[in-house]
Amino acid sequence: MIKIDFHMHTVATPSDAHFEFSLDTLKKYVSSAELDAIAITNHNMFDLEQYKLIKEELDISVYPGIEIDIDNGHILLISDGTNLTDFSVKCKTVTQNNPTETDYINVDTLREIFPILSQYILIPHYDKHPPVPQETIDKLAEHITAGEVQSPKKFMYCKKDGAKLVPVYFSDSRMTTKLRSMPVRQTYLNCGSAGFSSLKNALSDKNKVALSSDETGSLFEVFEDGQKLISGLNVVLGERSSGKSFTLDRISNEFENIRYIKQFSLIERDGKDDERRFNKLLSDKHSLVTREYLGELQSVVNDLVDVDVDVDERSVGDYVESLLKYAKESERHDTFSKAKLFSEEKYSISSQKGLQDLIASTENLIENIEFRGIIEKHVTIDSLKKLIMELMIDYSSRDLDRLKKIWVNELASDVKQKLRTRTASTIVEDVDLYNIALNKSKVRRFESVVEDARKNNVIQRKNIQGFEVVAKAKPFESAGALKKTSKTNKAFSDAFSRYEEPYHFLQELKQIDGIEEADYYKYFVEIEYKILNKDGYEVSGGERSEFNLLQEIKDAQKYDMLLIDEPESSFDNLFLKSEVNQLIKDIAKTMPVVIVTHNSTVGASIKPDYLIYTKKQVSPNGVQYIVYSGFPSSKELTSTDGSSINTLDVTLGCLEAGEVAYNERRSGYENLKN
Amino acid sequence: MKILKIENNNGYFCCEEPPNWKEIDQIDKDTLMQLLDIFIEKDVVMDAFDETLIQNQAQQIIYKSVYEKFCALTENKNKFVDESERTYLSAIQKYQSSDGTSE
Repeated sequence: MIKIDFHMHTVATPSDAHFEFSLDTLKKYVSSAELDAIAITNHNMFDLEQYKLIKEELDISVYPGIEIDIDNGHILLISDGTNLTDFSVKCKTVTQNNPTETDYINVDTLREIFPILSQYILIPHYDKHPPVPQETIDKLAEHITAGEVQSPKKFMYCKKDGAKLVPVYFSDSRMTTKLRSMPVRQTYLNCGSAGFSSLKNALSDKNKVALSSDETGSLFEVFEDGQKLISGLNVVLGERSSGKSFTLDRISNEFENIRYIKQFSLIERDGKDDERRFNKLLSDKHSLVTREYLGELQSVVNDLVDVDVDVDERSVGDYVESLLKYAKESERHDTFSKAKLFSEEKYSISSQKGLQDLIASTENLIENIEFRGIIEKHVTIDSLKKLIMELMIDYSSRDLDRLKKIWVNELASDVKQKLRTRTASTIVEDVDLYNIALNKSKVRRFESVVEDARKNNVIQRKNIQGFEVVAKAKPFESAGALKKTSKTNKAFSDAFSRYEEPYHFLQELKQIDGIEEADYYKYFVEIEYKILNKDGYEVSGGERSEFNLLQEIKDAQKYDMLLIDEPESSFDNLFLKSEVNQLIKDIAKTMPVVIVTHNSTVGASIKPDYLIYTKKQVSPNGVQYIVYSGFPSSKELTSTDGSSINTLDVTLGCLEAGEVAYNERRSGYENLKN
Repeated sequence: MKILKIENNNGYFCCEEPPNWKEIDQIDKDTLMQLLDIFIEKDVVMDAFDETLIQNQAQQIIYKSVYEKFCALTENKNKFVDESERTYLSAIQKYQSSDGTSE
């Protein structure tokens, strides 16, 4: 097997944070990772002199390459190194085209710079940030066989999926003196040599790529000493203080995008506080249900917020008052106030929304293809076309009428204004009775919407892993509950006193400074979430922790690896065996999972794919943690330095308190049975 | 229901049942709001304005103005009914027939 890393940086470019290249670090990395071939791939540039130096200093294959910004993604382009001057000139053109970190080229420019792309190995960022768009990959399809991924999980996923590119996993590391630990991200190729064409050929065959040199092809390296894990279920055993959690910490430091469930992290400590936290978590998690339920109410409140019945009443009052006064003065009217236009009513201008909606609906009927058959059973498309024509003619004539009225209103208003300046008579105020009537109707309908929305109503029941999550709409019960919803210190007592009258309640909300208008709808209905256990009762503290664990494991699918430290410290065996084990087994089919345990229910019943045993060794040089690993079926577990330990001894020792205790317990159970 | 009438050279309004007719110059903002409610909820009838039938000039002015306001509303009554029935319709339908079980 040939081990390669074709993605590393040796020059700080505008796309990198500053770093100093260290040839020593590169040499150490090549030696410790036992690499057979590397490629130097700096962002949008190729440093010929540095490349020559590196090649001279290393006794493995070193290929010249470049990581190019293309269509907002990154692609590696690696040359066989036969014509370095030509490659260097081409790379300079790339540099000129990508002067800053936000620039990128497109496929056409790439082809102009590198006219014979078949000479190179092209590896786009595939399941890795920033990815090359699929459209770009399609355009370059004849030259691309492999794609770079960002985790062992994604590597396995691509490898199994026939439609995906051949996955490769590289370090993408900066070779600097500050490199904390040597990268563990490389790809093994099953090919005869590290020659360019041999590697290129292997990169086009999924059966020839692996994350380790073992026969199963499912192991991958986690530590620089060559320690491996399986891309499945790993169980870490060991006595107390033997470095199990330390090992998990190391793994979590080594990889990105890891979900790490630490020991005791899910257990409840303070009943009330934990319950509050749990309920908050639950509502955040299911906020979509809240948003969906309150969506319509939100639009209604947003619309009604501009309606002010008091202003409407005042305008009616002003109109009546001025009309009566003007009428009383009728004897004293002068030529200006006697003019008809002086007291003329304005035309009421109304929108044509109703008709517009009707036209749109008819259009929808005419254009609908999916239900054409049903529509035509009842009404012909021809008659619909006639209908839409008539509606449109009516619309345009109404629109013309509307425009005329606007014009007349403007003119009349202009004349009125001029007459007003010349007379001492009272001016009759305008009032728009249509809108006032509509607003009254709106308020009535709004109140009925709120009444219905806040009825004690179960809006969703959802079964999650044996628990039932129930979302319920109900009225707020106190000013305090409103305050909690607002997440502020504002006083809601005045508002709450009008809570039963939705319109007045809304007016009170408007008086509270510092709460967002867009959030008013949230104060009308409370959405409460409850989790019920199998028997239909509210969950206990312990059950809440169980629910949390199951949710955490389920959510881990978003991550590239799941680490769990001693789940048995927070949960009982029955729960672990019946609920947790199967879930962990299922998730381990799609990603690497590492569990630390002492517990035989977790450790043995779960049937791990790979065993890791940690042991503390105290020597004059200090404390050392030795890690042994192997398949559960193998008689021995081995460490990376070659020493080994008996698998049965380890399993019995860690999970059953040793063979003697195990036999004693077994005979005890036998006696009870008899 | 009849809300405006002309009788014995006077203009009257009425916002009660059984009818209690008052002279049009007694109208105030509260009664006008009540007339508006009646207009929304019921079919209303009004005597057409005719200045020759009302003697008092002040009543003429008031009757004419109120009558014209309600005429404009009547013209748009169908539109008003359509518009107000469509108002918040999706919200009303959603919360009236909420998926959940009422408790």
